[in-house]
Amino acid sequence: MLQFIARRLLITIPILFLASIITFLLVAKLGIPQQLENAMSKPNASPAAIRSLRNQFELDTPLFTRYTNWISHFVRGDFGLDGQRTNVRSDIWRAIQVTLRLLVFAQIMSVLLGIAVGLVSAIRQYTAFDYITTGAAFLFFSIPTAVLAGFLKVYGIVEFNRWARHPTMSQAVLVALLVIGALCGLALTKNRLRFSDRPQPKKLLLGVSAGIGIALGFIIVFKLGWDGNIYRKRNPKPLIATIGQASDRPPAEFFSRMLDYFWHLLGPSLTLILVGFAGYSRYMRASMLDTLSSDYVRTARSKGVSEGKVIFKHAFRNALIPLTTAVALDFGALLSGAIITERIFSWKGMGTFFSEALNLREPKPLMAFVMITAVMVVLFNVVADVLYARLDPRIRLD
Amino acid sequence: MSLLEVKNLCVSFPTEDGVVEAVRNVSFSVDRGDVLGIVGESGSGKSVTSMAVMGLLPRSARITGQVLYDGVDILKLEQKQRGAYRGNRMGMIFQDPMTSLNPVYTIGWQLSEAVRTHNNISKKAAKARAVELLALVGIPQSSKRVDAFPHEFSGGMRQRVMIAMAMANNPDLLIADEPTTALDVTVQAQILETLERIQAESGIGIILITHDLGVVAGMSDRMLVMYAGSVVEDGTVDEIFYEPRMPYTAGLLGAIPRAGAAGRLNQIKGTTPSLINLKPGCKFSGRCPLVVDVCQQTEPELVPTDQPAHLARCHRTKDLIGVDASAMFLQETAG
Ligand SMILES: Nc1ncnc2c1ncn2[C@@H]1O[C@H](COP(=O)(O)OP(=O)(O)OP(=O)(O)O)[C@@H](O)[C@H]1O
Ligand code: SF4
Ligand SMILES: [Mg+2]
Repeated sequence: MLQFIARRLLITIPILFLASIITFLLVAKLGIPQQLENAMSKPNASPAAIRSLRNQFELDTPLFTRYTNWISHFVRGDFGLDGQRTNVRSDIWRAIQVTLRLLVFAQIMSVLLGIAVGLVSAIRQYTAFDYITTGAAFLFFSIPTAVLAGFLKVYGIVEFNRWARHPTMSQAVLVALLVIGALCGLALTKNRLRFSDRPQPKKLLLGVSAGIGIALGFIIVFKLGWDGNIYRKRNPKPLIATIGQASDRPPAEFFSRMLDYFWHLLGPSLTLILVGFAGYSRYMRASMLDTLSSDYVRTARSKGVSEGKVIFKHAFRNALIPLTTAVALDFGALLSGAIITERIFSWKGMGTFFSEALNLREPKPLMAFVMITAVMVVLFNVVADVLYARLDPRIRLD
Repeated sequence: MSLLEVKNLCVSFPTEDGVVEAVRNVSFSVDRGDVLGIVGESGSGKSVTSMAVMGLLPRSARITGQVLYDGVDILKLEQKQRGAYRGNRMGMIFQDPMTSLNPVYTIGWQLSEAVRTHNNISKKAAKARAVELLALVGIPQSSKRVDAFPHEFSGGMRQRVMIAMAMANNPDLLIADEPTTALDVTVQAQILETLERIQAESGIGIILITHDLGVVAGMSDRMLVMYAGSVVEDGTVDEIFYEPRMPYTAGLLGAIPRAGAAGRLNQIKGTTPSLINLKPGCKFSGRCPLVVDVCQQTEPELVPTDQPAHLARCHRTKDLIGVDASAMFLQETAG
């Protein structure tokens, strides 16, 4: 195993090297940096200023020397300076932190949600639950992210914030909430989930009380303003932020700061969760249907193993194998950021970092971005392989 | 009272195209020490019948009739009580040993699971039992092999593991659904030997489902021939082999190559009828060389023939007495 990992990591070195050459060439061919173009288009541009800019971007050094200069610094962790003479490394590190905060959370949530929904819709194939989640998954999967994010922001969050400022609820809505809650509770406790063969006692009572609990929770939070009002008394801003990754001056106290992060996280992560969940739930459902109809599941049933154990120990355990690999690969792609979502919610993450660097045609930030994401992709490929071998004894790593 | 008595078992599946009548009115019984063979071509309902006995059919299946196990109608039991039979008092092995074991657990784990599902014993004791079971089915170095994964075993070895698993709780009934079809000939013989030895040692009842008439002839006492979901002939192996009383069986027998027999292998022409919207009359009439008008109007009953314990479902049973019926198919193909 260790040997496998070492060998795999060794092979990645020439791959990354090659990738760096190709991207360096591409970046060089993008054209002169925006900053230089701006300087040159000024009517009273001084030749000295232009020359110093050309020097700064090494435009008159041969391509090969430029590359060797760059890479010899890069491998030592010096990512260079951008056009504004700020350190690219600290810039990109800031962007990485922001992106990780958003994407790790969103990714974990969409994987968990996707697994849960895929699992249940496979077990309850061709039921209302299955049809509804299938429809939702296709909707979120096919709708462009920009549209989804824009919709959520304008019609979801902004409207909700307006309502949450003066939360009122008519009697009719209250009753409707109670009924919906009770129905949800009932659906949850009805023995349609097929996790267990045992008939469940006192279903109705359990269902209705669960439902009333859910509805009461809603009322306490929003009608009585348990959170919303208290929070807003100290803070006149809208509850759910639509701009940026944190307030301009985030509260110093730890708990309030986390809360501040959370309200900023909600919008963009909801977008990403909906999109991610759509993919994962379909994948999980297909994978689970596959294992549920497999011969070894039939064998397990023929041993008299209970349905819950058949589902979790046999079908689910095997269905996770392909999903885990896919999730590991997706985690590798995480650092490239979510360009569209970041832009709509004005987050300064990796996506924004990249699109700005591209617009300004700045070689150093672009190269740093490409190389860091490439390293992550390659690393997580190895992680995916190792996980695969851990989960499936048929796979041998050597 | 028989160990297992199946009475008027009917199984149908509602599908988008209509109701599939997979098993119609099947009755048979198996005692401890018996080997009941079930033969019939693909789609004749052999597997569905055995899955109904095990309780492994999907929820969509509509099942009627009775399955009496030691006199208890297990079709009427609650899921939980039913589970106490499955894998405990009756075990089953399947056609494809390559896919029948869970790839992510060791052989020992899967055997222990079978034991621990029905017995409240420690993991250690269950593992010891697993080793013992592997030895029982003739796996060498069983105490070492118990920790192997299924992919480290050959097909024949995996089928032995399946037998061990089915025998884990000393059931009285073993259902073997084409246990050798996926294996090559030498391995087939070893698996059958293993089954025979286990049967001789434990005196269980076996239902042996197969395409291979040779296997039935070697192992069974009684046999059923199934066609399009129902039993068309029921008798001892000798009666059916030497004096078939139903043209379909005769055709099947004609299809086995026999040493010294002249001519090519006979095959019954045509295909099995669709099980959706079954037509009235004999289900074999479309392919039968002896077909007469009444065959297309009324379905024959499964009734005793000239030999009292030998039942057949055919209007013209009498016309088969003393005739080498398989020759009829030969003439058909020749002419
Ligand atoms: N879940 C199901 N839904 C609909 N039809 C089914 C289902 N299971 C089985 N059938 C149908 O029932 C019929 C009998 O199938 P069965 O598997 O019992 O045949 P078999 O005799 O075991 O054949 P083989 O020799 O190929 O194993 C087939 O026509 C099959 O299509
Ligand atoms: S009933 Fe008629 S059609 Fe059917 S098997 Fe007998 S002779 Fe042939
Ligand atoms: Mg079958």
